[in-house]
Amino acid sequence: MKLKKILTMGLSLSLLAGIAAGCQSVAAGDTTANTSGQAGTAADASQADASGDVTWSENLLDPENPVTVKFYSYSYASPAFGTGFQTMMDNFNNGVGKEKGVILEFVADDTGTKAETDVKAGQQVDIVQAYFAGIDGDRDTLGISAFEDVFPQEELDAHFEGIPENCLNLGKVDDKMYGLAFTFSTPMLYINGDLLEQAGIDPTQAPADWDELYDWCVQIKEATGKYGLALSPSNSTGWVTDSILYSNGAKVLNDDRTAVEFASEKGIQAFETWKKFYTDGVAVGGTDTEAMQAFASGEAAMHIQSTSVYTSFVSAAETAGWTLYGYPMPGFNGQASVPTNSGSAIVVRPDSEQKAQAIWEVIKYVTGDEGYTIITSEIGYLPLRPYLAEDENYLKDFVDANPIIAANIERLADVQPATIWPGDHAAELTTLYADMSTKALTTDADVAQTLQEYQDQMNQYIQQ
Amino acid sequence: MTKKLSRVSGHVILILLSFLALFPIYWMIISSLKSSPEIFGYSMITTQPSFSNYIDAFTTVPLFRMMLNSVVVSLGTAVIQLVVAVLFAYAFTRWNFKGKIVVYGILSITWLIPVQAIMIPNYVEIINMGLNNTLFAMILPHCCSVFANISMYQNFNSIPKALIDAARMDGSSELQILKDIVLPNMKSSIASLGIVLVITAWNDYLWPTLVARTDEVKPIQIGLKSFTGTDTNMWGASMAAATISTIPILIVYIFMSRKIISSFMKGGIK
Repeated sequence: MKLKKILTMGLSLSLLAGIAAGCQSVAAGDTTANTSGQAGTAADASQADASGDVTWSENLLDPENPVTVKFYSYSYASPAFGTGFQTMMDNFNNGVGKEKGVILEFVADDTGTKAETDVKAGQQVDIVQAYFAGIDGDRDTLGISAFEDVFPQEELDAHFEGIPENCLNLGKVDDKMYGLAFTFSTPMLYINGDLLEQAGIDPTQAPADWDELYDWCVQIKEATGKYGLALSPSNSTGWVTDSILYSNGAKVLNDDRTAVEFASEKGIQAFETWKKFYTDGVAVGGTDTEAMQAFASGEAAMHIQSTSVYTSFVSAAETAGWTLYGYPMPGFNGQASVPTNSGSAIVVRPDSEQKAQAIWEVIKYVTGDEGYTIITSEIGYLPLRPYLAEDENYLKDFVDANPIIAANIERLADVQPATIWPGDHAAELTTLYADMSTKALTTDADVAQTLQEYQDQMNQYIQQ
Repeated sequence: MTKKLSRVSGHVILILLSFLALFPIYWMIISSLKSSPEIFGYSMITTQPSFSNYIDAFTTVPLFRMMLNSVVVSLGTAVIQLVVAVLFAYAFTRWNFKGKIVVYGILSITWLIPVQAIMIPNYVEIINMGLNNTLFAMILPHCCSVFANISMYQNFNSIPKALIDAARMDGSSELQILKDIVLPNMKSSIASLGIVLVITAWNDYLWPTLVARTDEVKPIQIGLKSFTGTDTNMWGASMAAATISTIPILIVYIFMSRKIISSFMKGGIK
């Protein structure tokens, strides 16, 4: 009895202590975020001229005393991509790094949590490979700096030459570049040529728009019994959903990112067209992985997915003996689609001018000509520098051998940023957006009502 | 007739349960032999078995090294936890002291604190001690298991006090009593608890993810996860690696199946 009393009291005390600890950890988290936020402030120690632009008066790098730059990367953690990243690291450290006095060290971070934990633990985290959708939130959680605040403008201008302007805007928040597009892809329509031929469709031509895509799907289902299209309604962070909405003239967020507005007439129309594929049983949904599996196994004839999985599909097609075709995702009413970006951005948190100089050397390499040649040819992402596709010293041979990649490179100039959710509630908004798509597309729920319901809910979060 | 019917239905249920337990293992092995497109299909067999997934698994990550790391970490953790638990249980059984119930109560409550809540402070400590990215960093925070202490204490309570008192009257020291009287009687309980502790440490994923940075110190659980990523999944290699990683556990199970079953039975009954 006595023991029971003690235990009950102890449990109550521990509950109270837990709540107190929770509150304290939130406060500590805030402090850490602010402290980490000082990364930018420290880097502001980089001299600024009268206009506020950062200037570097002298070279602080010394080959005799190299500076280590820690780059947290989820791609480096992936066996499929890790080799390409290892090549980049080795080439940098044996070349430019050795010459300038910088050592690049990739840290495998498959879930993205290690960077955040290390920041909170006060560890050195210099560069992080981050998702576009969470960049605004990363300003607080990782304490990242805007590129304009830590690197001289003339350095930025010189390095960004050759990159399409719209691609440079993908990681901008409040008119400042917090993320530079890094591993990068656009939505692509993959086609199993054999299944289309069985249905009497010419796979050498892309469907003109979503209406024709639907007709093809019906034809394929009738002729082969297979699904016409595999597309996940939630599609990772919702970047394909963004592209579908943009392609029909709808918006996801308003221009100043203060309200969600996908429940517009154009938005509802796009969703109703998309929903027809599932309700009529000519498309398979599920998760991204399930949709990919359906296409790779020959259960679905077409699939909308990132260019980054191109090499996997090439291998699946070769092994199974069917012909793979690929085109940019179709648009609406005969118009070209508006591609968005998936993939990742580079975000930075230098804590001194010397570190900023070292980080800049790494960025110049990994997003330069040699870096993108490795990223495209060994990993499968698109080169942010389209001119490399024409250059025999870099990607010409690869692109000539893989015309599907060429079709997407041509569309780089049309890319619009996938949604970067307002920072305070980025995680909740990403989840609600995915839930909205799944409910509107795969249940009996009315599309207009569902979009409106979620739009209201998401706006409440944003206005909090 | 009723007896026969109930025996048959019992067998049918057991066969169904066995199928549920064995099918995932069969699926893992057969998938590891399938080619890339075949692996996405529902076929129960493969028409062209290939070992290419095994080659991929071995060339992608240092599998054997990771398995060795797992063995070292899980055995090391379990042995230290057992030593601490035995000493704790003996002290608590042997002596009655003021506040014993309070200490026991507080200790029991710490069992309720989730690992995630103390992960960052532990991580900072490990870094300050210069142990980050070492196998010892995966063992150190788990040296004392409240679960093991409490389980062992309950087992030690079953030893008659008179036996210990008699040994003391014979002039045995505390260490001798523990070594010669208590431990020989507790062999089975220690072995059962040891197995549960090894399995728990073997399956640990979250903490090693934080402290293991290079492949040389990563345990097999992280190695297996590394075949699936945000953009691509190497299902074939993942299945091959999973098949290989189950071999040591399977060998241990074959030799110790009775003990393992009994340890889970005891854990369940308690």
